[in-house]
Amino acid sequence: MFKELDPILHSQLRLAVVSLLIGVKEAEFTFIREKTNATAGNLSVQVQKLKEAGYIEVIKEFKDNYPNTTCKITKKGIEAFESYVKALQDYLQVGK
Amino acid sequence: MQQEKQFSPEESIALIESMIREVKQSAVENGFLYLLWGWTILFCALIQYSVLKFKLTAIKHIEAIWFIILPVTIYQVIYLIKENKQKRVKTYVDDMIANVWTTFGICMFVASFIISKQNIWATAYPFVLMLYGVPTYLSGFAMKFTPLKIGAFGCWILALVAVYVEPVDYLLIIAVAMTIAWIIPGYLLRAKFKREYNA
Repeated sequence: MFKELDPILHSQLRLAVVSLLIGVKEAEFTFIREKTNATAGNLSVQVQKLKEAGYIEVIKEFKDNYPNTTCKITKKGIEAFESYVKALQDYLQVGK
Repeated sequence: MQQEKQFSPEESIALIESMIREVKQSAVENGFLYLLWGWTILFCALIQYSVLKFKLTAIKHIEAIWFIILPVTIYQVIYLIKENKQKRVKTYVDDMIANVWTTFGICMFVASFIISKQNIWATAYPFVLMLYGVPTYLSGFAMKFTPLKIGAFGCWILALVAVYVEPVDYLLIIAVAMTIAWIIPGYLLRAKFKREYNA
């Protein structure tokens, strides 16, 4: 039996966000937007979903008098990402 | 909210890979600090060497040239504060490299203090060169950047060579060490940064 792919991560934009954050300590919202080519509105929605799932931490602060949002992956997020990749590997191995 | 289209495991893997690649490109160092310090120390070493070697006695206390390090340090601190503010992504590798160089800075300060108090420059030269190699190698390792690792080995070999030369010629060895450990890797990093940035 296959493990079902985590529906939170099995969405292009959310997976892109988590894949970006997995390799860094933290990244600003504008950086993620630029790298994923997403619109600000759509990215906000997906970031919120990841936050609600406990996969990422969202820090809102002021930088040079402008609001600035920074995202950081959590331990739960790292574990979810690892299981997701493991599940993908299982799928791909059987497909061979 | 946008419609989320279904995508295959292959597409998932491709997406993960492309995002990791994006982060890797953004994490490339521009080489500026290697060049700043490489040239500063090379400059001081060559000026002091010329004065001592050619016995330009009119110039007294040429060792004071090394005080240039103070304004350069202040400039570096301002540069780093500014760069940190502009940085939109922070990596663990950046943190580790920053801490390695901070440790090196503290060690150099302590070493310089001990060496000047006890006036043991001639004995300490090879050890200072050995010390240069440490942060250089670790940065090269963390960034997976071979020219820095080669530069570090250069410092260690020159530390051995320094035992056999006259103290005044040690300044020339420092100049060579700076060229291979910081200046050449600095230019290579800058070229890499420009390539990645324009990609």
